[in-house]
Amino acid sequence: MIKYLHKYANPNNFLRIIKPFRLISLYLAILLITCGLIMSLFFSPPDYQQSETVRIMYIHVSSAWISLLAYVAIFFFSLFYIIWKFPLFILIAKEVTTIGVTFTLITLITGSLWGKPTWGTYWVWDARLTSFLILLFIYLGLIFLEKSFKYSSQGDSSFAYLAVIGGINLPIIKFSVDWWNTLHQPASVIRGGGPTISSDILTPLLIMSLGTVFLFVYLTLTNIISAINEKKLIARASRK
Amino acid sequence: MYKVFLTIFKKELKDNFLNNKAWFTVAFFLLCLLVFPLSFGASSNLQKDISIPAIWISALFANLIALDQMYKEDYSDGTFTYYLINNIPFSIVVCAKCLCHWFFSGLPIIILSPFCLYVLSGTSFSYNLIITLIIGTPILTLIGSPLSALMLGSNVRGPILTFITLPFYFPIIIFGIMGASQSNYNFNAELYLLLAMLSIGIVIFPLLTIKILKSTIN
Repeated sequence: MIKYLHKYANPNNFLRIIKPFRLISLYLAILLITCGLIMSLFFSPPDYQQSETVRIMYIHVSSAWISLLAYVAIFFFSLFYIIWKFPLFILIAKEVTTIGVTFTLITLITGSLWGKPTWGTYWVWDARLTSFLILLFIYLGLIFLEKSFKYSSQGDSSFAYLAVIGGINLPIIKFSVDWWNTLHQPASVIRGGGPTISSDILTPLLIMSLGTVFLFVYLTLTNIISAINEKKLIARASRK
Repeated sequence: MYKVFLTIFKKELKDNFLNNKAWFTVAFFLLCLLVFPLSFGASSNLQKDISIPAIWISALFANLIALDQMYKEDYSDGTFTYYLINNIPFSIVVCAKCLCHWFFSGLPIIILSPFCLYVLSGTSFSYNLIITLIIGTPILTLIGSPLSALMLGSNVRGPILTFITLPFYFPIIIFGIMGASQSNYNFNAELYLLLAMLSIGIVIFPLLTIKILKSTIN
């Protein structure tokens, strides 16, 4: 495994490999999100209780999954950095944070907009909402920690350890709806015994979330490429 | 081994109690507590409801204030390098530091809390508040210790440590206040949860702190 990875730990090789992936994921993201939006806005049936407001779900749920996925990515890349000490891993982990913050904010805002017509309130302090808000603040803490180590090399391992400690929050978010009796509905797609959503609604949701995954990959790869180029420029400038 | 621990622990106590750091923490707790009665206005219902959370929140902030200096001084004046050269195991150092931190940011608060509760709300003694504080404040110290070690290499001080530590304190605050606000004297679910957190935290967090300290010093 390590031998296999070593070949790609060189930033130049890595750049060469990910460049085509970036464009492919951009095209796939545009295609899938357009399809998903058209299907979800025009062809999917309105919910029998929530009527038309159920369409907020297609953005809310997919961006919520992405913000969790982003933290999982940060967690594992930080863990790999602590174990194997490849600088590339921590570079990737650092670039994902800003995207994670964006998707977490989208989730919170669309969620509160959806909560007004269905629950009658923009915000309640139930377990799922609170743990998601804590996720936002952990992301912000990671960004501030990274910025505070701007001119020192010790920030890498600090960032990695904080990301690993912050991973405690992930299972709490996932299982908060099962452990506590909350206003937020329990898990209905990723659960034992199959999804409980009608397939008319599930298909556009899956297409939308797949599109958002590709959007996330595209944004991450763009960030990584620019970060590697920035490092190269700094190295070249300091050599002169 | 026990002798080394005692020596380091005595050094830590001297460092903190002769250097006004410990007294500053206790004084900060009292000052922070003063904010709450001033913000009650005239409503006496609010006073009764909010006095237990007020004590908990003040304990949390006193803990945070003391956290910044936990490893900083020993790191910058080279004491950790000295420990490393002399092969003193870091587990002893970290345990001594955590215990000392709790000695001035947890213990005085527990002792003062019945008095504070009386002043704030006029109600007498609450067993649950004292029990939750006894279980809760060591967890705050234990969670704070690896996060305080994280910030050692950075030039920026203070506020960022507070920001990254506070989200990890939320569960303890939630369960601590829920447990303390119960009126019956039985051991309730929140107390068991806090005990579980404490027993996991005693194992995990000093270990993490040792890892972080070693990676920072090398």
